[in-house]
Amino acid sequence: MIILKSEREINYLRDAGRIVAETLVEVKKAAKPGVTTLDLDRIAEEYIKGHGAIPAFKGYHGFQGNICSSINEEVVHGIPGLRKLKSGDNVSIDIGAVINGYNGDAAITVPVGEVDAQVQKLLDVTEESLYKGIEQAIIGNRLSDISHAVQVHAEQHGFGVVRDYVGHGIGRSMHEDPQVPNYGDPGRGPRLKAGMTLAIEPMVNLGTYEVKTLDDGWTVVTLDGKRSAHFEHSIAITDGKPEILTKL
Amino acid sequence: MSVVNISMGQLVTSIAGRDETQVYLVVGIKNNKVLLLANGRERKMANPKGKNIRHVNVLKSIAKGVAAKLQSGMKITDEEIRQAIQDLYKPENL
Repeated sequence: MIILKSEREINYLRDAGRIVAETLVEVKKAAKPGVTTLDLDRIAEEYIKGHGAIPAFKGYHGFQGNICSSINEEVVHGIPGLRKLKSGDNVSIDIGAVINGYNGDAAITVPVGEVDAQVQKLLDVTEESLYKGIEQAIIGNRLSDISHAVQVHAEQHGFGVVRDYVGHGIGRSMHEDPQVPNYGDPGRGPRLKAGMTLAIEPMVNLGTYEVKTLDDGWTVVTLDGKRSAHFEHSIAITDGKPEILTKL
Repeated sequence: MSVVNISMGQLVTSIAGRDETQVYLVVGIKNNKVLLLANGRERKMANPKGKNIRHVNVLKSIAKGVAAKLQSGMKITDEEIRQAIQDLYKPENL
């Protein structure tokens, strides 16, 4: 069941979204060669807790981190650890925070030091595809219009769009209905209405779209070992343009 | 944080709990968290098993006939569930 939010609830989601966006800025600043992903996790934890919110991922189905940090061929759900970032890496940072019982969820992929032109292009196209999807989040469209727009943009550049993981509704729970895939034909799925709040999150690979999960039960990697990027915003569908809740 | 892409009619195996290795079809999804699972034998359509989404391994196959019926609200028999699992569950799905 898709839960429509009132203006008051969307206000709470704005608060949570703002904290997530601010935390991402802090973590992005710190993502330099030599820094471990656990360092990034601590920075995020301090910022989120320092602003009266709770990290949403910690303890979620037993997840150990405050954030997900996924390096290079890791697609999503990487567990922060002692691995040091080095120049040429790309690291995806996914952050969730809860305040007043409402969730914010967003992700960015950051180039560390100097990265290959091809990797930079992957990051750019993935972020663009997120915005292509958001543009379709308007009343009267159907859910898969978002999915289709993301897929078309990423595949135009020859990249693979991950199928096995998808975006989601967001509100009092981090994961609500509906599922928001990043691929598919347009004009399918539920019609979009004002008050729907969604986390749209393309995961785009340099090579094949196929992925597998490592033995830690969390880290998702590309099947061919090539790089992957991930960008996410939580958005609210309004009477006019979609509102991005996790943007400063 | 993204969620696993699971559809109605998806073939899954249990990876945690007393029913570990058991094969099911997804016959319902609650809030992207809990799956309702049936195999037409121990777990029938009348009493599907609720299971945490993270406690299953999602296989690539989807029982399209079952999915279409579920989505249009038609009734599914346990025989259909058993048949669909028999047709779809092959080692190469793994």
